[in-house]
Amino acid sequence: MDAGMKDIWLYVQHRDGAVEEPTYGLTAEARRLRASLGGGGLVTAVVLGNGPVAGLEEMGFHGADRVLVVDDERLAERCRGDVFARALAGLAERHGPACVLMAQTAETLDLGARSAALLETAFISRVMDLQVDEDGVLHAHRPVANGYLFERLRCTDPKAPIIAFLPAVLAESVPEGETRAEVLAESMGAVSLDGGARVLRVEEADPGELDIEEADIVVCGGRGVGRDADFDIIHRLARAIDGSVAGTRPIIDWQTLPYERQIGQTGKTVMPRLIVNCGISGANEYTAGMEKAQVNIAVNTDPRARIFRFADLGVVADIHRLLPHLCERLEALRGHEPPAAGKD
Amino acid sequence: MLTTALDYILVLAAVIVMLAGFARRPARVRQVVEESRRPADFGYFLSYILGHGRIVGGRPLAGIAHLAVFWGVGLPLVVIAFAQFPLVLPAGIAGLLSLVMDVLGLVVLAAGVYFLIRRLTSAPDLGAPRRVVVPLLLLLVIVLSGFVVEGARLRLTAAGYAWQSPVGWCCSSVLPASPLLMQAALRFHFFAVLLFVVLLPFTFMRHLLAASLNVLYRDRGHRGALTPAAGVVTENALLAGDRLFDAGQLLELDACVACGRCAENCPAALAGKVLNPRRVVQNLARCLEAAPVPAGGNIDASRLADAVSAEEMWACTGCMACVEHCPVLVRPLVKVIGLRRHEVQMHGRMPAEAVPMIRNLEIYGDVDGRGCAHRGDWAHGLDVPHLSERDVDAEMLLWVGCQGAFHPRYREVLRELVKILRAGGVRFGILGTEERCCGDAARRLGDENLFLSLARENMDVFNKYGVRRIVAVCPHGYNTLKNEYRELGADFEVWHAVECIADLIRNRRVTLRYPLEKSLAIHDPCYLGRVNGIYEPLRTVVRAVPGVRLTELPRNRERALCCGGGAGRMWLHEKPGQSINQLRAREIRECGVEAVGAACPFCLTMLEDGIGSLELESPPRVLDIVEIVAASMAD
Repeated sequence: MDAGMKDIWLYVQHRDGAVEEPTYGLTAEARRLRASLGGGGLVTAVVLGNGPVAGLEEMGFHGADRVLVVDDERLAERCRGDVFARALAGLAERHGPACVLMAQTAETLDLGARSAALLETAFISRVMDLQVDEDGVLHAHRPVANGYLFERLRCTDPKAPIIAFLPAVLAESVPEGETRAEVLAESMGAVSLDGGARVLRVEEADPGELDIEEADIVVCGGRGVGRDADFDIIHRLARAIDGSVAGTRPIIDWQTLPYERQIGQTGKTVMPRLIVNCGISGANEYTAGMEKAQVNIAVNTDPRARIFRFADLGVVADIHRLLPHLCERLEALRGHEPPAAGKD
Repeated sequence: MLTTALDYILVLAAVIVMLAGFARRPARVRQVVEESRRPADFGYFLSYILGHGRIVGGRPLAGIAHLAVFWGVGLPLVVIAFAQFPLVLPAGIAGLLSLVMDVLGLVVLAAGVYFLIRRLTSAPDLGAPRRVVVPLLLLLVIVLSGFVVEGARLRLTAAGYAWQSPVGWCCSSVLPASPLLMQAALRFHFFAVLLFVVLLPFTFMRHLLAASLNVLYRDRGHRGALTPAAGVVTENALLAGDRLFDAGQLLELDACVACGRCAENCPAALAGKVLNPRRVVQNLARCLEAAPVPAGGNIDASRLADAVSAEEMWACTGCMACVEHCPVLVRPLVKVIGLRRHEVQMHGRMPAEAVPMIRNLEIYGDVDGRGCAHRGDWAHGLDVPHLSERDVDAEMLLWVGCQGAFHPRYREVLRELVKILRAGGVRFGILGTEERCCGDAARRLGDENLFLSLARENMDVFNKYGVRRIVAVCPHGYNTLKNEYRELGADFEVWHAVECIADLIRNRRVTLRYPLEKSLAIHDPCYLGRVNGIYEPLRTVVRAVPGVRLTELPRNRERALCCGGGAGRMWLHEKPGQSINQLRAREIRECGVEAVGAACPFCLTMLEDGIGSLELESPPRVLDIVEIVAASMAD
């Protein structure tokens, strides 16, 4: 079959009936890939699950041509890699796409590896960039050795490889077109639920307690916040925006927070989507640990503080005047009851 | 005069007991000479002991009292020893000698009483050694009984006033004319002296020998160079073995008189940390005493290491104040680093917060983990030649260091330095991506292997380009390259940037025109000042800047307080006590200056942070000397 006519698939991650963010980033990659393969195939989003998922047609605005939906009660349990993989592999066998793109998460690492094994094809994880050479062969780039080196993989497997992109490299996609995607129902085929591991329960981590390296949102307090009881305002803000609490070195030296919550040269390096820096001057020893955050908000009384050089949004204000109002508004918006006093 | 053969036997017996006592001491001179390769340095020893400069300096009152006791006991001892021989002196000289001895006796008495009061009133928690009290009392008894003997003799022989012995004459006036009393006092005096001699090795007075030997066999290496770890250094690894300290170091432990000058000047002790250098040395010495060293000379390292807690050893900032101020040349700093080495090399234990930095050094060769590929980025657009370029015309290598290459503030300092050196017509080049961390922090955090591997990498590059002269901007790199790379075969000249700038100003190759209207104090970086004796160039350079009103901080030069960032403390947390940088910041604030000038990236960061934490209305600015010069330079 001519590679140019093959479809580019992307795997849609959804939760509670809504499409999750990294999926949209995949559409841009898929369109780019289709163009370099000759432009013949369709950008196809694949949805596996049970129950309606909102916004599938609107995937078209992001560049998906059609959406294949397998709605089956056997797919009701999230994270059952063995069942999902058999569904995905069956679908791929029937349609024969050029490749399947995924955003790398714990879920897709499991699903991708299993599907690749079933399809007897390659699974490439941690991909940062994917290119097609003149012969239509895929080349993937990915970091090794702690990001210090990069390796280039040449994918000679004739079958559709499964590619998992690092979520950090997937650009946020803004809807562009007006064309809605065509949504097609697909059947799952004969897949038995026997055996395998079952998910008994999904436990949400308390965002405030989440490891700061894992957290999407980090609220970090510095010397300007103060110690002990003064620091409670940071906990309150973190609760209001589901952030994880962190501190700079003085906060850790005062033992207001434990060592594992320190950001900076002698602490942890974080890359959250949002970091709120409160009362932090922004010495290099601190910023070395957070400069890779996506969105940076800084609140400090000193307008010349170095932290503002890193900030997307800078507020010159006293933490203890600004944050209580902010927290009240946020809590009201979310319908939170006032926080229980004396956390920890 | 000794009268019977029994007296001679008694003297002999006392000396034998004393020598036997000293022979059981852990420190062995033969090993010091053979193993630690420390030859005797008589010239220094004589100037040290006769001049007493090191003992008086820093603590004048106690030092002068010590000087008094030294001469007041030493001279009469020599005179009395000679008096045992049938020598005849002219009456005038003999009389003068007697007068001198009489007066000296009085002086010793006064000094002895002063010491006794000092000991008994000192706070016990400072660990002041009370074991000084017994020998001091004995000394007073000896002097007093000597006067009684003299008085009784005068009473029996001469009537009236004797100018040769005023004190003895005073005594004679209250004593009865009894030959028995004189004989009894003489025996008492004699036995007290014998007891003193016998007790020498068992009391505090052993410092007479141990401290003297320590001075005589002092380590003549540069104080900024840590000795390579005791043990076998192979091509790639250091097999630390169970030798924590070599014989020379053990002699130092024995020599410590626990005067506490180290603790008085130790930034960690001043800030209320657990570390007290005197206690470290004393605990190690006690540990050494508790179990004598076997004949082979091997000391159970782990037992020694247990004498000092991890918290103590990691609190040291490596500022060299304890070494600087020790009157008997003990180096507590070297002990602490030795203990860290043991902790790291033998047990793999290090404070958790330093581990990422050490890993960065291992993988990337710099403390920030930015990677050597970016090491030359700071010079972007400046067109600084790399030594690797063909036809490079460089008389000097500019050593950038990790802070110069990666710290945002210090990168600017480096760029200013380039401007100054260029204006002065210095032809220099950099190593760019071929430079690695000098290894100072790794070595002082106890990771000797990492230091060696970094140093070897750098040495290979130096040799490749035939480097003869280096100018370094970070005092830590300066010291390490200058003093510690010697052991790896380095034979290049190393200058610090401030020395270089002082030279350029002196030779009028750089003119400073724009004024800096500020009162400014110099914060002496430890690794320039105490470690390498560079105090004046900093001041010369700052004085050359028009408008600057130079003042001195209360603690300056040899007594300057550390910023708290040395010996890897930059990467460690401050646990108990105050922050050392805040302590120094408060001193700067109290001095009331508008700016403080330093010449070290760590000092800059630590002082800025310390001053920032005081939250002042108009805080003093922290400037690097290089920045001050660059701002004042005519374009």
